[in-house]
Amino acid sequence: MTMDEDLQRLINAKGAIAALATTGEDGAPHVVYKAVRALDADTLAVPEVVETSESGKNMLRAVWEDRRVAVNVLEPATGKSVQLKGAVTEYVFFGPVFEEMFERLDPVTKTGVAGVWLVHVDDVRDNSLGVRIAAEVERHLRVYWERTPHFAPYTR
Amino acid sequence: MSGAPVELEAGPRGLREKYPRFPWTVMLKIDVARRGVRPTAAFLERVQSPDYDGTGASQLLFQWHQEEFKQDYRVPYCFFFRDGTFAPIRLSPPERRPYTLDADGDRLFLADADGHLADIRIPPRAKYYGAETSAGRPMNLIGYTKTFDSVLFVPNRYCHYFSKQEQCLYCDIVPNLQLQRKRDRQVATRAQAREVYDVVRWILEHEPRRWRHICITGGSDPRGAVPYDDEADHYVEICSAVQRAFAEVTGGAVTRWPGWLLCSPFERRHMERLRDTGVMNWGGNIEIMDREVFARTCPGKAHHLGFDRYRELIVAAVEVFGRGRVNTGFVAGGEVSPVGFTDWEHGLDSTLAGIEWFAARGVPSWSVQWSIEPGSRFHAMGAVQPPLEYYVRLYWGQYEIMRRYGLQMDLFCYRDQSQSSIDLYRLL
Repeated sequence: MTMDEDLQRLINAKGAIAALATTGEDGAPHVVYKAVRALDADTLAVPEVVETSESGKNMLRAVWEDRRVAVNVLEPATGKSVQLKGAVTEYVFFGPVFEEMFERLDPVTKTGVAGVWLVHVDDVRDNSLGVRIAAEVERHLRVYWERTPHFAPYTR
Repeated sequence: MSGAPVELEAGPRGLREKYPRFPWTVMLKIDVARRGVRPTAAFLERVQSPDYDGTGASQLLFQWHQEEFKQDYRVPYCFFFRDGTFAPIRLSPPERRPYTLDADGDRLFLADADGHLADIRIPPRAKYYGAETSAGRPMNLIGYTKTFDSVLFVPNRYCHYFSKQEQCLYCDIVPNLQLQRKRDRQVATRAQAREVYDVVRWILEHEPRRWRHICITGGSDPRGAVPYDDEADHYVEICSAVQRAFAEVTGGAVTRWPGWLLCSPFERRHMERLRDTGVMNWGGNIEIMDREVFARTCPGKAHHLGFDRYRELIVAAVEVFGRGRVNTGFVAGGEVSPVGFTDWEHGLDSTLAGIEWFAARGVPSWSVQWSIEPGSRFHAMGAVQPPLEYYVRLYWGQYEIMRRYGLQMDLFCYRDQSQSSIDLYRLL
């Protein structure tokens, strides 16, 4: 399990902001905001409104060329930020997942939804500022202690 | 991705390493279209559910199957791979080494002699299939959907080239019409504009923003004071009906609609009339890229227009509809038929040269992969399709040409096509 229930709730919360990062043919990154949804502990649903969009082409390229994609989800109220990486496994344009996404987004966007990409998430990283700083401090202090043990008592 | 000689018997598993950049599902699709399929009893039982569309494409246009479809069970028109790639369901006799469509509970999959190849999905029945036109005919006989956002109209099921034995040699449109009638399957030989209007109005009103593509095509009709006048008049009437539906439902906001009209190439005055009906994309099929092979394969087209005039009219339409909104189709593999090139390399070179000729003039091309249907003359000649690798090289070459010329098929739906070049266009 890669996304626990708290994380799924965060991703699916109304105010959450999600950015999808893909790569183009030349490897250049491309980032867009998407109304992503966690379907279960391992699967993200990423809606596609316009299939000929840059991200749409990159998602297809990710399927065909085994490329990975990333999504960063931000909870604005708390600053909590989580990065999810994974493989694009499927593109659906009928069936329950598509229907749910269409019914949820169409009233908001008034554009309909062309299809939904499914991403199998295999890597989760808490990117919240406080968490990253704490992690970096921990990592660098440990190195510092290891290299200069005689200072360790003073830095603890 | 060219230069090496074509391998005769290599299947997708054998070619995967040789062409690592070619998408696996597209390669499977090509071979599925080429060799056809046989469904197992488990698969058939699963797809008899009314939730699936069992109308079958043969009730609208060509038979597509490579053996006469006389069965009473329902066979869906297509399936989809997990990446959204469409694949046609063309029943084929055992000697063509067809793939197997199988089911394990709710799971549907494609297999070959070596086992499972890919999980597949069958699209559900469209909602408008339960409705009737104002003439009391089921809407699914007027407008057909292969996917969930594209509806196909075939207002004229009869091709007049057959009347004088001048039909294209790969075509079975009229024999298939006769077969469907003989089998007592419901078919609409000629749709009225009012009925097309009914279907478009229904989908726009009941399922707004779900339908993104409308395709209109049918048999050729060279009759008229000037050849093809009658066909042009009919399509103007049909397209005007679609325009009226869009305009009425949107309160006049939409008068140009995301449609693709595929018919004979007309004189400019007819093209302008068609453009004024709001249809945004027009296509005329050259069918075969070589002049001599075209004349032998498409005697009706050669007689009434001729190769050069056919190409000229297609290119001239760019001025009316715009770059990327005029396209031409061909029968992929038809160039190496019994009346075509005997050397596959020559067939490939000729077809790619023809694709480039059009691309240089702002016309993207697409292709339907040759299906050898029982009602066609090629079937009677015992024709066989070229090997899988031929198609892999052809489609990749076509894709490279489109990239080089910065062309895309505007407003085209890759989801409802049995052609594999268009799948690669998803990356353009």
